[in-house]
Amino acid sequence: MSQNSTHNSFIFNQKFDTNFIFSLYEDDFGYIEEIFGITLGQLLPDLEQVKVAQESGDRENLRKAVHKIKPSFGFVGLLSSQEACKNFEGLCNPDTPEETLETNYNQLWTILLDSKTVITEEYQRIQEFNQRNA
Amino acid sequence: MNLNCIIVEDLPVAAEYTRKCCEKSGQLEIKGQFKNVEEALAFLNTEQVDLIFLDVEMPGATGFELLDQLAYSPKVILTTSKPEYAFNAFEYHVTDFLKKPFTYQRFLEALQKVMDQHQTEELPSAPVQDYIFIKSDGKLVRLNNEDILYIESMGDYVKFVTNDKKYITHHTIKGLEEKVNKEYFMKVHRSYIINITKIDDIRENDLYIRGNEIPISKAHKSDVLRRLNII
Repeated sequence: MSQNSTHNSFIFNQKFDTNFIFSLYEDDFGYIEEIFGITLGQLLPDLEQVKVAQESGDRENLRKAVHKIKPSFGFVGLLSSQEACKNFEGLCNPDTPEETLETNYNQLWTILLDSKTVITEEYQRIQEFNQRNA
Repeated sequence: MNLNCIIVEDLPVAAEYTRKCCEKSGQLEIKGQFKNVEEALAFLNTEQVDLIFLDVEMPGATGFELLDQLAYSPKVILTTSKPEYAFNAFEYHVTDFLKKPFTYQRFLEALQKVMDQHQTEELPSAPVQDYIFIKSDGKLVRLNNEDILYIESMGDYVKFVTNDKKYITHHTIKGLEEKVNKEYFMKVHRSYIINITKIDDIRENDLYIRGNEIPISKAHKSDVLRRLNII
């Protein structure tokens, strides 16, 4: 797995914006672990809500579900996923052709699942890091 | 000076982060944390707070609907991930608008604005008078309370309407609420303060003063009716 920025010897996966994470939590790794844990705990029900909303065909509900999940990615520094949610939100209106919405939804869904995986992996790594430094 | 606050936020990570910022500031006492408007209103109907950290889009009612239903006006910092709500924030006279996720530094800036406003409002005011002076057209104009029909919000400005003239001055309804003589005036809507002695009639959720229709918000209706001499 490729990695980039370092801080206090912890190296975040390059998908995370390290500087942004430290702008929020400084180097409080105990708290960062807590934030990742809370985010993961909420991610499953929120993903389910996105899926249900998409299947119902109700665009406003789909927009709301994506809007709700969006800041979770920001809080863990996954800014590209947050941006993808924001862009998709903008498509959830009556003017967007069905086919366009569906294509974009499929792309977003892939991003959301990848994000969940990468957050899970990073959470485990942070836990291990904190245990080593306890 | 410590202020009481509550956090109304449905996203657990955002609620936790806001709580942490509040604690870190050392200037806030968190009286409650709520996941939706209904829970928050139940609390706010029994206890008053100085400040609300308020999300906009939540399951059920929105943060703005909470503000519509509040019987008093605490300071509000909106916390949302949708900048498009900034316009509504302006309309509701919220103190600041934090886009999630926000840094602690940005949080402190918003909190400082609240503190500044709070201190200004706590300054002792002049004895209650039968008149007020307003700045209008580059001069100070004296308006007798009994001549003012109502005051209407125009964003950062307000319009004083009298029998024969209208005066526009730089102020907010929220700021004026504390300064006007409460024997004459009361707020009936977030955009209106009226002279209670000038009401001609009330029909459902509107009142009429010299032919001007003025909305009464749900939150203020019972107060208005209490002030009238109904037989």
